[in-house]
Amino acid sequence: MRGMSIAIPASFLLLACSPPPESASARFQKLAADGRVLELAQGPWSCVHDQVSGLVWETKHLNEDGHYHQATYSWFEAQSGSGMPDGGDCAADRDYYACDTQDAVDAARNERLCGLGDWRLPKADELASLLNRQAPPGEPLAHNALFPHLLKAPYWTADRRPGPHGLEAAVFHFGDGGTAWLPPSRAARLLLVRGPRGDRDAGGAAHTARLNPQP
Amino acid sequence: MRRLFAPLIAPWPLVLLHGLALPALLTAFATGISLARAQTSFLPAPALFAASGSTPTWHLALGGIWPLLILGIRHTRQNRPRRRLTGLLQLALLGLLLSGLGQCLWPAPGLRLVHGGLAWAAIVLASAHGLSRVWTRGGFQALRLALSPRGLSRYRLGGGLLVLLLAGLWFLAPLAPARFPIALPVQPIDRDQAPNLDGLGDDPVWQAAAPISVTTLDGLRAVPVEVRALSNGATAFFRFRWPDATRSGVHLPLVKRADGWHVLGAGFGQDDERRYYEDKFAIMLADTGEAGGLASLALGAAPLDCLPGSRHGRGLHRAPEGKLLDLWHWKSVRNHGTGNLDDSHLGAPAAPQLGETRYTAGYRADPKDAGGHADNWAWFADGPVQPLRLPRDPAALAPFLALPEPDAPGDSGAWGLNWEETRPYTASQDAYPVGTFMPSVLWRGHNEGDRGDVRAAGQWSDGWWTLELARGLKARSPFDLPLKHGLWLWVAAFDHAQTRHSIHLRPLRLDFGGEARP
Repeated sequence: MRGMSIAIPASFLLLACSPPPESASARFQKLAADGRVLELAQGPWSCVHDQVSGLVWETKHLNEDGHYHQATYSWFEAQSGSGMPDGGDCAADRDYYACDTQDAVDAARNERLCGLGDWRLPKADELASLLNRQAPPGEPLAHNALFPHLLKAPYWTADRRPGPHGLEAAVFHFGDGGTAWLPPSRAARLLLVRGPRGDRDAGGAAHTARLNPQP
Repeated sequence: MRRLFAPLIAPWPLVLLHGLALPALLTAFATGISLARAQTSFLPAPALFAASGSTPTWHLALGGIWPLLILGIRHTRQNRPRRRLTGLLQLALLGLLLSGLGQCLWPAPGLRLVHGGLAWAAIVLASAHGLSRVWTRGGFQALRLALSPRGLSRYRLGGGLLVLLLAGLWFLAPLAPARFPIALPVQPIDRDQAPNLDGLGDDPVWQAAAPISVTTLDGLRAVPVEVRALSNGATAFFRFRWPDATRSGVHLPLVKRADGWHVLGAGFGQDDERRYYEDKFAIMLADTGEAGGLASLALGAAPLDCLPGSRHGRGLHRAPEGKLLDLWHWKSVRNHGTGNLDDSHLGAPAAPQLGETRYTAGYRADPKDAGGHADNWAWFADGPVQPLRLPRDPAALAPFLALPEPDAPGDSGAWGLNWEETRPYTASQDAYPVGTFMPSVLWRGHNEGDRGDVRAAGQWSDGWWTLELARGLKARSPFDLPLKHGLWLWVAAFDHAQTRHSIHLRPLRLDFGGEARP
């Protein structure tokens, strides 16, 4: 009989609507490509600052450049020489080229995306902090209005482990909210992050993100 | 004090019926205002009087109560003196009922105009009726009389109760229009047969399908839609034709001004663009008659408790609880040349999403993996916007040198650019002179994924749109309904309007016939 009822505003009945689980204005900020802080109703934006975790996230877009939403990457870390270089498929306008996660990190640092120069791969639990199980059915389990071109696909993380056939890296899947392990030669998506690194940053657990670190 | 407890002089069924009539009248009026505001208004429909919520359902239900209330009131007053004002009010209410019922079964602009006019007349007459009672009998005395039942014969008591019972039954009954569906025969064709879907609609196989006509209304504008349907046992094919004087191929164009690019239009920021907007067509499918049609509407500024309203303030779409309504949304410019439409659906109202600028409640496009269309701006604003892309070759803008007036007759083509003939915007390459026009529609190819489940091709010619569709009979997505015998359909035409569209109340119903049923 729900369809036969007139919706009486809850405020009229002096009933309180349950507040949203997260306050948009309290948790997230948009950042323009040059690092300017924007209101949630403003745009365009290139990054999202999560004021709860202190992390700043890259956002993807439709244009074929370093932040192309359909780009894939193999997992590779140049410092340790771990992983598989150039096993992904990135785009630059009409051209496509082989790429890996280290290429993406280097490009974002060189670009100083959102005025920041310390971009890195996220840990699995950091990516999981973006999980939004309130997303409408069929859409990625994320805050899709803030990350409009995120895909229901696996995204690389910095987490690694020795596997039965060599190194494996973790991926977080925005289709089901789960984590899995893949060999680094596999192609997956990537969402870069910068900011406090949890257990990797000795003594940095409580600090908040500085949006304009030293170059 | 003694006068307050004077002998009872008013039969209590009359009091009861008036007690029902007043809120019924006010609610029917308020819900009618909401309905009028949802479309192109032709009479005053101030938001102040608009109801909020499942108003169409209430409007129909209360419309059915009127004859019974009037009969009841006349019945209880049959030996009392007649008053001209009361008689006029009863006539207006009967006229409202008849014109409303007529719209349900035979939609016509004239009936709608009469209905709207009588609604205002009824409100005025009802107010005068009440005031006259206060005036002639005096405030508290009138109230005392109204609250004082007097001796009543068993006959009248029984009649009054019968009227109330019938009113209650009507009120609880399903929507009336769903009881009178229009059968849409689905003509079986050979398994290896299929019409050529090019939007011309002239494939000889269509001649086998019986045309069905349904009149839709947008305000006072009638849009008759002719529908034909075929099935080869695996795929159903539909052909729709409806009149539209203009091609409306210019969709939110960009123009270069001294301070940068601007989006031309009037209302897109409130999701109510009606100037530079493409024509559209929508088909809604439901597995029960009561779950679709007007039951999918929640009208008003914020009609769903604890959820945001729409930006235009007229209402939101959603499916009744536990239901999924399949929605095929064809967009004449954005879907142009892509071979399919935007398969969408209505479900339960979604939770508001952080950062979303437009809340659409239960209306959602089905998920897609790639393809479709994109807006050629990085972020919409009423002021200057940064285009998302620029043409690789400025000559690509040659077809768009002059901006046709929105109401200009003829076919100016679809204003859009293929994604591949553009490249990401850079200020250094933006040397276009002031006054340059550029389409805002970027075609990215066929919708891939659930959103691309319905093939579509439309063509405008000589004041008529022809739209051909095809979809497998089986539902291959959790957001689709299987096409089977008895499925209910509604159609809607958008005349260069973003959210305002024509509607009809009597649904169509797929009739696959005897042995051809899938």
